[in-house]
Amino acid sequence: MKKRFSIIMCLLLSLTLVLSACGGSKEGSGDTSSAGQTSEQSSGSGEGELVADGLLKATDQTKSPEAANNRKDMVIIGFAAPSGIFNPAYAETAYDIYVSETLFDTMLQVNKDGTYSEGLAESYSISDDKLVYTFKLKDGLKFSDGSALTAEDVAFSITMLHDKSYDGPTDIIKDAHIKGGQEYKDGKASTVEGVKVIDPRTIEVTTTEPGALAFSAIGTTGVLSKAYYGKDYKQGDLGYMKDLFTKPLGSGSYKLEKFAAGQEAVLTANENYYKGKPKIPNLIFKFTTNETNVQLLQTGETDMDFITVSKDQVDQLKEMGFLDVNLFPTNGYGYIAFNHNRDQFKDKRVRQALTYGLDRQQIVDAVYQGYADVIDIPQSKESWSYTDEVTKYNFDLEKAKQLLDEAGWTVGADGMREKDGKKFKIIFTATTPNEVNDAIIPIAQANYKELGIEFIAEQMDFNAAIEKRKKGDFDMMFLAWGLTPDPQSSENVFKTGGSQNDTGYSNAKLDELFTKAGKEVDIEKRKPIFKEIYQELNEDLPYIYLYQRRDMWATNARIQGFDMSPYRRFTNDLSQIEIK
Amino acid sequence: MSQTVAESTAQDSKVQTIKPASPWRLAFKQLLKNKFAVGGLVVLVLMFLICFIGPFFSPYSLETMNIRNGNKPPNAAHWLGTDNLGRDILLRVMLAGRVSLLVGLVAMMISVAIGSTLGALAGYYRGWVDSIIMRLADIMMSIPSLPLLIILGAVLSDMKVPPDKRIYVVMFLLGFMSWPSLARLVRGQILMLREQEFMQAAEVLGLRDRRKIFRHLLPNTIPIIIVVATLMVAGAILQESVLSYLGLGVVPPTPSWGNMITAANNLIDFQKRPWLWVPPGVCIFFTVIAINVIGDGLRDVLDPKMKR
Amino acid sequence: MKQYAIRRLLQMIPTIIGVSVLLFIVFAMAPGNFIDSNPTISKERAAELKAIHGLDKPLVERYFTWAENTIKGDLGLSLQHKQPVTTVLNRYMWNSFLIAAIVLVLSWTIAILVGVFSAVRQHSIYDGLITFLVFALMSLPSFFVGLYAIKLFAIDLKWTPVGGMYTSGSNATGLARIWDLVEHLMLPIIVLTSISVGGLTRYFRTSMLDVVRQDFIRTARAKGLKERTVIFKHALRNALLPAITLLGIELPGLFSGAMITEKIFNWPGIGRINLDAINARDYFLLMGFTMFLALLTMLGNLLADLLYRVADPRVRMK
Repeated sequence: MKKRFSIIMCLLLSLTLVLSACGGSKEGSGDTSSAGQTSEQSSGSGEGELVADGLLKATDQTKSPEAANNRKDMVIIGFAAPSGIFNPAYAETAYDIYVSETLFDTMLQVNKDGTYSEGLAESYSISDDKLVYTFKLKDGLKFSDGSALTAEDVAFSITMLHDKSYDGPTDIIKDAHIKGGQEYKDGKASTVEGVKVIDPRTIEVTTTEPGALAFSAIGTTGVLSKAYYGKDYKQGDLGYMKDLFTKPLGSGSYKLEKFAAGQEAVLTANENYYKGKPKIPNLIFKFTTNETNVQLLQTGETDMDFITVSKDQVDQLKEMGFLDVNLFPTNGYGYIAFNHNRDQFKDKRVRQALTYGLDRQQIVDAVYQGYADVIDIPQSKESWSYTDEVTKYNFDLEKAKQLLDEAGWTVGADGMREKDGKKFKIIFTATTPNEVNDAIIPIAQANYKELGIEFIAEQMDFNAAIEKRKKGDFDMMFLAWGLTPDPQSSENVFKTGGSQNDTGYSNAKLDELFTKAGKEVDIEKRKPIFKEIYQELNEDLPYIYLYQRRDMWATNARIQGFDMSPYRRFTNDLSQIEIK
Repeated sequence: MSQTVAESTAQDSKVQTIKPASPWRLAFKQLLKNKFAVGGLVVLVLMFLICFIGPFFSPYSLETMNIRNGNKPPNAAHWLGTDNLGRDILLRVMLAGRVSLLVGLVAMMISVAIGSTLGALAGYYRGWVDSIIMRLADIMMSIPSLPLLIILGAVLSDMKVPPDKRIYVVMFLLGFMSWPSLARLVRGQILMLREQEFMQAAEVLGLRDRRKIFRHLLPNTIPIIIVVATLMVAGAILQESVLSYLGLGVVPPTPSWGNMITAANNLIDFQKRPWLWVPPGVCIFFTVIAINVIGDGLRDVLDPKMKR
Repeated sequence: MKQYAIRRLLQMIPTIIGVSVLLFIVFAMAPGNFIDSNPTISKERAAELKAIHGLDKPLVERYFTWAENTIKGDLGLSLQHKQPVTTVLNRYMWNSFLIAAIVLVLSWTIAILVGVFSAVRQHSIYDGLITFLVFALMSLPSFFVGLYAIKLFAIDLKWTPVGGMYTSGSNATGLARIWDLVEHLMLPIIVLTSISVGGLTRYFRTSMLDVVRQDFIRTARAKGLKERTVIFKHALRNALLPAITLLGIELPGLFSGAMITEKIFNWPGIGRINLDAINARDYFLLMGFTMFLALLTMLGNLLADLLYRVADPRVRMK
């Protein structure tokens, strides 16, 4: 009995884990409408001022615990445990990705604003017909074992993603449409025709159709050593790769010394790193949990960790005094989806009424106490594609009632709304355990009752809820999407029949706009199209947009040099940071 | 020491002579003489009364919330403070009690009924009866409950069973899942007991199996049953909150002691806001204690070996 | 006896096959699956991935493939970890076993002592106090107890580390490293022991109360044996009989890991991994791990029955 009991109890606790495991897709972030709840949120709507938005400097560095101060040549960074898949082609959880990004580098690197610039590549060019991408590598690149990194290695890294037996998360065929990719996968060709090594420093990739995502998909492929990862490769069999996950060889800033599953990954500086040997010789990734990551910072066992944001947590961190707290908007958003196959949600006015009639601010404040903003479009304020020229659906029950009346949902004798003899009833599918749902359910129930709508919640675990969604067996549900630096990938979510559009949403105008935007590669030309897209999404409301919250990294002030943004992860700065 | 022994023997024989008259009524009468047990009963009845009647006197309702008034410590308006959404904790604890008391007690009774009966049958008949029941128990113990519960939640959802009715399923389920270990414990005892002298006497007297099992063997296992039962009430009350996460327990905003206590699962709430978790914790504690002393009392009355 | 043991072992074969079929169905029926739980994946890619892992085949075929490989000793690949199931289990299970074994020994020893003590002194103030403590611990979920222990011992008193298995960044070897481990073991063991000791104490107290009242104890006392001898030699021996069943039930617990405590104390154990596997529907890992536990459950129960017969020759099971 005891065993069963503890199994169940731990389910509770691990929910947070499930959340984070779905690739941050759960969380959004919000705006500042929460009115002065938090003074440190200096800029509510400003763009590009991420650091001002959130860097709370340490007030008293002398409070730093001795355990941390004693580590003169070592930094310990905490985050949740990875599975031990240290390979950029296979890493799936955020934590495996952190480790992989540290160990492997790519031709392009992401900038703070979500655009890309040269990494391993010295330069790149895109042909006029937007089909051919040419990358020239920097001179003298080496892997951490000293062997040379050439275009052959890049070609291998891209080719293996097309292998029939490749079971990692990348879907290169969909994203990049490289010529001959499908043929290679089907075994009809022995090379990917579109991947061509021009000389040891130049690679040329030809695609079959212009696509806004191809450039980043090709340029951010982690570069694997062909000599190491490719020596046993036979087309159609990548099984051996799994044996090399914990014995990685890359060109990143650090190399893996030791991996202790569930405990830590010990790394040492890569002296062959192309930006120069990192300043800190020893780096440890220590795997921590939400329960005690703050305490580990406090005792000095870690120097930095990702802390779930809330007022309590921020207060606690500030009180310690020796921590730099970096807050920035999460690159994602939370939303409540409608099932567009249900008749009751087909009318745009009903969707608008349900948005006006829900006190989103109260939900967001209850969960994040000001560290999240209510949003009205599905894009991060930090993105170049963001626009503020949209309708604000502030809580307004009267307006909601009016819209419902217009849509033909009239109040019946019992005070509940009905149309054609059908009562308005919503079954809300809630994933558990999830603190946002814990706030949505009571608030929505009370709000919608005033509108004359019955709102019933049904809870289930994440996977069960996703299955319901895929089957189309739900009315409304809360989830969150993670965003990519390029807004084009939103087409998967909102285009008719898009790969992530499982709510049955269809809007011909949006389909056309996304197609138009997808054919452009110039950001300036894409901006106005995206403005139109977001205005349409704001008007038509495929979702109730809920919030964009904040990410929070707390760092012992003895470590300086991090320059993070919603797009640029801490892994990019590891070669630059210093101990003060 | 020897004096006590003599005394108790005397009492034993007295009990023995009266017993055939009307055992259950007698047992109840005996129980009322045990002041601990009466105390436990009173506490339990009071808890029921407060939980079922108390909410009618509350100025608040489940829908009353105001996050600006959230996480306030106990005060004149809210005697036990408010939670993060500004809801009255006192009202929630009372409403939660309705669910939790019912779930805990019903689940325990079901489990005890199934577990002790099957355990007794297996231990008494042995042979193939034992093999079948115990292999069944093996299988039940081998299947992890979590995936099973996830499936059940999905099936109920697909069958469109209203979420607020699923709690009844949960009570039976919690009871049904936890019988195997009790059955094994009871069986073990019975295997031993059935070889003792008093059973040989029963054999000689030609008593029927049913009488032997339920009148002579099972009462001797009551102490262990009571231990399991008390542990189970606490377990079921806390487990209920997990089940609700799988779509099986209560549906928010309906509170239960289990989900109130698990809502405060971090160090900050633990330290700074004891009013969030102390009230449901104390309620569970009193329920468990009450059931335990009632159980002890019951044992004293029902256990043939007991003195006092 | 020997015959009985052999018969029971033979019975295990159909039981374990039955369990494996049931488990396979249970895991397959659980709504959602590993691949579709990634909401960003396209339908075509999902179909490809299912084909790679053989998840597109009919259930019956999948079962037989799994059964055949398992008999050959290949438990398949974990979908989450992309490593053989045996590798994953091996990585984490021993860490859990280490804690569980120590906790088992400690909690049984303490529970027996406390149980005997509070039975002998039934209705004394000590008995009352112990009862109170036991129920207080039972009324709070274990994460509360764990969090409080961390707050008290690791943060305020600084006696123990907050969590983990070894100090990160220390180069200690040999004895120093073992000591480091012991320090990290301290908190989880204290917490787990104090949680499991509660229920156990009740069992031993009850059995003891039961036995103390039996005729042979009276006889022993009447013979003028010392109270200590009566209690520890005659009474305890008999009171432990029901505990054999309990011990059998606890056997799989040695390997199953303690999910909550592992998470709170950041211990790299199998409990967390199992929970993640359930949440992520990592079929092969789940099958491998659960079948292993099922086997242990059955072995535990078998051992308990055999021990029972050895300990009490009166018991016959036919």
